[in-house]
Amino acid sequence: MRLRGEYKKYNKKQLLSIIFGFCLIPFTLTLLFLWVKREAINGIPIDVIFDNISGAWSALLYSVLTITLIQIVTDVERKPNLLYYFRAYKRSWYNWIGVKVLLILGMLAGVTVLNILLTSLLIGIVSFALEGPVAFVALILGFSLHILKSFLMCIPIVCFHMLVTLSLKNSTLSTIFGLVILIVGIPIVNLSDFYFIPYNLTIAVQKPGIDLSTLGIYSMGIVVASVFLINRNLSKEWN
Amino acid sequence: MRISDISYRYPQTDRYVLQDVSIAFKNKCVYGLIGPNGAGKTTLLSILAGIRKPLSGKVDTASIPGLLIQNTDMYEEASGRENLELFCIQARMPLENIDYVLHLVGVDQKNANKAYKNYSQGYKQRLLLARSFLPRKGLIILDEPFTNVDVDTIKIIKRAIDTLVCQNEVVVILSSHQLREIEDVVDEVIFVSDGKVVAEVNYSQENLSEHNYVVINSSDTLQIKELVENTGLIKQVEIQDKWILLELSDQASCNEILYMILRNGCSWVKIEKYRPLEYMYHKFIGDAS
Repeated sequence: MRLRGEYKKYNKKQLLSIIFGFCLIPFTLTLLFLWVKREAINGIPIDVIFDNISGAWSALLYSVLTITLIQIVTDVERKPNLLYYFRAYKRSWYNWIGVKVLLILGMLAGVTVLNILLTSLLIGIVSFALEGPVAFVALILGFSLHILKSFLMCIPIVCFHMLVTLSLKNSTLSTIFGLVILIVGIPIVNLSDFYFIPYNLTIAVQKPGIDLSTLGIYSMGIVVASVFLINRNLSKEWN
Repeated sequence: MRISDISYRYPQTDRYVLQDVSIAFKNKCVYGLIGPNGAGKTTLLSILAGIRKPLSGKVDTASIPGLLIQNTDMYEEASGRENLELFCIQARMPLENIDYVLHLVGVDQKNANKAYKNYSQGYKQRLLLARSFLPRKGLIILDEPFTNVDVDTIKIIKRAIDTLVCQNEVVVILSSHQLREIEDVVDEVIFVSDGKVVAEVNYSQENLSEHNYVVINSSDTLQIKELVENTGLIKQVEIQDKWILLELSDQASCNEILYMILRNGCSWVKIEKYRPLEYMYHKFIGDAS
């Protein structure tokens, strides 16, 4: 009921265009690139090509999409000043946070499924064009696993960026903050053992030899701390 | 419902915006909260609403208030009805009151199903008022309900407030700078200045007052005073800014006094039989500051 109600607040066309845009534009560009550069990439193992496609998602696209969606779901409350208004009614904001997080994760799950379908299609096209046997199923499974791991790491990013955007009280500033940390973090996480930058957890989870249990505990810590701080910030005195 | 000895100052400031404010609210009554900018009205309303916590004192309200707060709006993409539903879900209120409040503010089914972004300013204000009426009990707080709306909407808002109070166990507290508009709806008026309650007036009794008043808005108040003061027809004369209050003696008639004033060429803008809020504002707020 609450989730369905939450959905009514948004411009559905805007949400759908963001979700489909994020999936279809990279797909179309990849397809075009593979077609234009078909001579040049001939001979390159097909799994290398698809590692690069999944790499774009784990390095950048998931985090950027998460930041974009969080700006939308918080702005819908912030523009009409409803965060202030609902202070009279809410003793706890945990439900409110939970519904927002679930909505974003729902959209990210949609993107993930769409991504897997589109990439499977891409693998199918490429394998059809290539001569010789292609491990079709193994490629799709590999890509799906890669993308699912990134999707799971979006949960702490969602909570952390929600905390940032609600603390900074300014959409543009929080978007810039998120993007800067994300971009600066890419080489740091890629080239060093320091993988604790919240926006780059989608890269960290893909690193070979990474201790997944440590990463999992760290992510849970981010989720719990962020949710607690969001609730505290929204409940405290407004000036 | 009452507030006792409420004091408040904003964090990192020394000045108290409210000092030892105590008010007891009567059920089924409309209160007007009047004062200059910076008097502490909005702070007092936000304390009553539970948005701010007082530094000292006690707020004793029975239930969650209904709120119309300035600079707050609704979800643009949702319809008017959906907005009210969303509010009920978030504030944990029953959905049954939605039709009632929509009817009160004169929004029909067709308009209630339109997206909020497509409403005119007047309809938006009606919807915001409807949202504040949803609790249908306890405290209803209306901050500047007549701002940015046309004459017809003002009429609808006034009628809606009247009906709500007649049919429900509510206390309405409204704050406005439009004294002329709130005169028609308030039962009690609370004047606030410099963080303190400077006067409380039972305004619904003003029309029924035993005093025989003539209150004139004029630029010739001193001339009028000189003219009538020693005639024996006047018990009391009081000047507040451009207002002059004449309390007539038992043998004097209103027509006689007015004839005397007009015959002597004194100018006038308004003549009232009771003390208008504008006059009281100058009396209480002027005195306090």
